[in-house]
Amino acid sequence: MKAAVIGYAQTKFKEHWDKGLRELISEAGNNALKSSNLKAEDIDNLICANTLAPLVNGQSNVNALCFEELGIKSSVSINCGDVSGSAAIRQAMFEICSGKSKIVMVLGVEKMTDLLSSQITSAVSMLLDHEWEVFNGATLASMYAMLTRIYMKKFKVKPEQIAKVSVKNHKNAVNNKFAQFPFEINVDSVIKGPSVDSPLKVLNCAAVCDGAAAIILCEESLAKKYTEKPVYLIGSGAGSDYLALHDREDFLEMKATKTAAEEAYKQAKIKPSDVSLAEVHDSFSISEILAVEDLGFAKKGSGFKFIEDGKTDLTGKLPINPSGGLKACGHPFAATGIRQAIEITMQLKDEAGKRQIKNAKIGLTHNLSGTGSTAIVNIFSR
Amino acid sequence: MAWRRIKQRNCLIGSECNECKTLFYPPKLKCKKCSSSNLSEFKFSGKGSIVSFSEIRNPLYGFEKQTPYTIAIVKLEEGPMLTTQIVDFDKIEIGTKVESCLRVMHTEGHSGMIQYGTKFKPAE
Repeated sequence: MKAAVIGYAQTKFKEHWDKGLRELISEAGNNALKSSNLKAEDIDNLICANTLAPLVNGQSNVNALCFEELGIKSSVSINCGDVSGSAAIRQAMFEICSGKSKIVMVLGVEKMTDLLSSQITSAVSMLLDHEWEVFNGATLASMYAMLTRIYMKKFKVKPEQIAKVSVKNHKNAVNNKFAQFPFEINVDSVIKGPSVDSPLKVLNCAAVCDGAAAIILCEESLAKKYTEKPVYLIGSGAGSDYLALHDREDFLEMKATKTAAEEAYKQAKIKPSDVSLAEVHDSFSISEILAVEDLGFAKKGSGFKFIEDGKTDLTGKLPINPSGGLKACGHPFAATGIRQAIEITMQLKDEAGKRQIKNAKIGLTHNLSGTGSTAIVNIFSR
Repeated sequence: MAWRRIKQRNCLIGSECNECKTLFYPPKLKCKKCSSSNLSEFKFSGKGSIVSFSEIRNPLYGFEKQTPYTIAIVKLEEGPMLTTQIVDFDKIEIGTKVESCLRVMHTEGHSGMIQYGTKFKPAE
């Protein structure tokens, strides 16, 4: 048995000064119901993904807020960092394939912009090892900065080449009305831009923002009742690794991604070369480069070249982050994995408008937590 | 709570597996290599070299006053790696030899706790 995506909706990802968790949940959740002509009573269960509300908004138990706004009779919350959205989709698959539920809504929401800069830096750094990384002053960005430095030295990569990731993703976002930064940038603006944790520049990093995204999944046999073109979730894999970077065997190979990808490819009965497009976790440019390698699209140490040569452009052999990725869409942690699944769904249904990829048959989402301590890969097909 | 790890942090006490002799820092409850739970304390020399580093300009809450500061992954000469700050330097690069030193980590306001911890500086 497979699960099928029959509805989706998202809010714009941006700084929503005038909206709280309730408004974001209401907009994404109710629009997802509308998109599939379903009512709240048709949904058996809601899986809510959120990771920062307990700290940023003083709100735990976010799934109960979803009940208030959407009226779906039962719900649970999932929190495993910024991979929570993809984890919720994976749980929905288990629920549907076990026969327990027929129709499930998965909703990710995050309200991140109500804090001062150092407060939100501390909040997102909760994804790291608190006792042995954060106590000593490490931030999430600084850990990715150190990975970037190791990669650049080992494979002799220039900052201009790393910058290509952000340039491509911004270009893709131009036609995405839900993206936080729907405008083009160039290599110069990246490398001459403001510095953050060295050697990173501002434009190497995805920004915090607010947003919600929801999809509705159902049992395969019911799918055609709700949509002419269902998209099927044909494979899902999860992988784990040590929380702290310093405990990992190899800094430049994300073991969690490899474990997750292997499981997902096996379930979907496909090879990396069968994938038509992918949405990968580019919270920092280096994470897209490592993902391209660890998902099996390019050899270790050549991911940056694969991107630089245009192979991952919209018109390339394997478009990556056609939505604009985390970099240009914005990264409201737990909403990201669901936003990625929405992009793949739109592409496979030929509903992606100006950024539509021709003949897209199989799409993959790759989502990480922290510096890659958890990875989830979901694979969808027409 | 920070006090729980004072000994391990400030004196660089890690673990040694009594079965396969692998060393760990930070300390582990179970051997990552042979899965044995038979481990004892091991004191590291505090000498090592820089694997990677980053100058932090967007600090954590509570670290604003010492910004910019430099975070690094250091490989101890006995093998394990740890995440630490590098202090008292003019120039560092990947491979620079460093040694441990005790420093104030951060303070909580005017009258709060002063947290100490191990940082590293270029070796003499």
